[in-house]
Amino acid sequence: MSGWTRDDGPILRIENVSVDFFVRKSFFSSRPIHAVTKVDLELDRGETVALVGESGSGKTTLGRATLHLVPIAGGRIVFEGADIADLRGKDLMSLRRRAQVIFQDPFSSLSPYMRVGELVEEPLVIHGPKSRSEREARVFAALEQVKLSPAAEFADKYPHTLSGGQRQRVSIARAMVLRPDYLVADEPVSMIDASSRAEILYLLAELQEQRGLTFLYITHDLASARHFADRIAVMYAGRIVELASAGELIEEARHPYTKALLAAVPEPDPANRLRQRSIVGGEPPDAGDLPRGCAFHPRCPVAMAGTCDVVVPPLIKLSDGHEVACHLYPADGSGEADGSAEGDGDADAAARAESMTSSAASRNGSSDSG
Amino acid sequence: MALLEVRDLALEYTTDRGPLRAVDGISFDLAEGQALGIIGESGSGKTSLAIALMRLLPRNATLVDGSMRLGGEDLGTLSDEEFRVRIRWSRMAMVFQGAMHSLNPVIRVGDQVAERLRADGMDKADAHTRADELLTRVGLPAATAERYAHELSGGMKQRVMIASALTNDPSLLILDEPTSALDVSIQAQIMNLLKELKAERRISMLFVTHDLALASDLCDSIAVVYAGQVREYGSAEGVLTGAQDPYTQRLLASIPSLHDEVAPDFLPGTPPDLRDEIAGCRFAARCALAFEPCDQDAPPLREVRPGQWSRCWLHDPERAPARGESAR
Repeated sequence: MSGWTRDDGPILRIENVSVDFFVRKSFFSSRPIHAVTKVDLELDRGETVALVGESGSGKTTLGRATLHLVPIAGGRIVFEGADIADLRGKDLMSLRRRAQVIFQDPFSSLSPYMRVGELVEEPLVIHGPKSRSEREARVFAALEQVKLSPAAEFADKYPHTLSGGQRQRVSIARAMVLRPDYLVADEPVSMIDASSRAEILYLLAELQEQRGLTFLYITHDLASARHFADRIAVMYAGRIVELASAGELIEEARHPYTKALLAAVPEPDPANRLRQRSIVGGEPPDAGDLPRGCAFHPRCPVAMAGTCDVVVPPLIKLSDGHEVACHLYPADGSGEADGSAEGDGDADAAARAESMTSSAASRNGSSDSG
Repeated sequence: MALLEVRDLALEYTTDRGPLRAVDGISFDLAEGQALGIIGESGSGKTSLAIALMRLLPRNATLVDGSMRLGGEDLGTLSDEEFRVRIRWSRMAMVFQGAMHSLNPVIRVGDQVAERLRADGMDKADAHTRADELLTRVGLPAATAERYAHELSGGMKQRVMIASALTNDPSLLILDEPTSALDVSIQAQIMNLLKELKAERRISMLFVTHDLALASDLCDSIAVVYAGQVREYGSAEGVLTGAQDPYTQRLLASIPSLHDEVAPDFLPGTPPDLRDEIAGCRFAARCALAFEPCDQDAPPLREVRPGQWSRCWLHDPERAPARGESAR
């Protein structure tokens, strides 16, 4: 365990980070896809931050960037005070051990030819003790920790004999056996039955408490983020569009996209079937061809022509701990101007933002009768 | 009269370890223009039920009991050929879970939607006009017909699958987790579309999912299945706001609430292996309320409130322990 404490500042600092991918356009040329653009985010030790967004929002790419798994195009990622791009040799090895990841799909992330015990031991062969018996003790302890008990019995099984929830515990044990300080969980429960999801999330929360783990929870599920994260960052088209403490983000959402996501969360109410869900139409943009200005403006029910389609709204501080990137909330500083002046978020527009959910439904493309 | 009547349906898979009865005596009615949610965890038999209705069972599965009537006609009396020609994809159609993988990558989307109409003998121009109409109806831009599957997003592909299910104006649409691979905002769009189609065309829908919250977006009635049997059956109002069965209650409690600080619950353990002999209630091993008869005798499905059935000994005045508020 590291000696890093909260007094030393954030354990992980994501500073102005961009990630580009290049896709082949023709034999000789390629074009960049801006998967993540100028993201700033800090994580305190022992904190859980949820990165919420839809496919293509860049949430997974950002998570991988913090693990030094994808090269970044700009900015820096600082783990315990050191830029991870500068790490070499033993220091890089140490980061590889201390920063772990759990993937979404427990059906494809575990080799079907290895027993549970071997799967959990594998990371230790590289990073752990040389002695076989010591490794075995660590494996059994990790299996007990994730409540796959009796450990000796589970260690002998193959993944295909386990349920989805049990497999995901094996993935967690694989990560925990290295005693990490930072864990990225990428949609860890989205392939698990609704009835077992909370069980896995409670387990992660328990391990976090025991070990002071810092936890980046990547998900598209705002409801679970509310219950299991301290703060929520909403991403759209590679940028953070809103960031606040979990409760505040949900009860006092400001960004039209956050509001749209909240309106789309299904809750078990028999009255739902009698009304159309208020939604935004369209789909998230192609990261290789982002709209000018605010990337959400083509779908936004309160977009202001001449502003939102021209200027990228900066992430501004609304109150302590609540940040939003939207022209409805004017910044005092200057935006990242593509051209003209910054947004003039008048009271009118703010009022329209409040009522957006009702007007959004009628704009939905799918409700046009054929 | 109900459009679809299913009675005591039972089907078995042949496995290395003997027969596995994945669906064990399921009955329900589905009225015209109504939607019924079939809710269950993985392995509950919900998908087996759906593909049994479509007669698309794999070779190691056999229907061992029960009957299915569509519009009064006993489907059991039809030969496979008759079923294929008159029923499947004509009177009943299905949208599968992995729509992404159901489209042919080398055939234009419009041709795929028109394919079924062409097979029924419609001429090419008419079939394409109809396909275009349907693609527009499900909210796709007109040019979509000319595109290939890889050019479409997941949500657009699922709309294509819905359009092709509608080609022959089926009276019954079976939807097996139609939105589970989609983002929430796209999921909400698809649910709105299904709601519109249900109202506009009076299509009956069987919505198979593990997500009770999502089912509430479409379903008029709900059947909660567990280990091949119906645990609870009733109106959406009854099941969602006054669940009688301990299993349904736990399922509801495991949904994280967006606007409530109450932490979500979960159901520990896994459903039983149906190849094993289970003497008592199939849920007893995971049930926090289990009492003396639960391990020994299987409870019957009984009507516990008008129009609402539950399979639990707690509702039997002769078997249940003194029923105070504490029992709930």
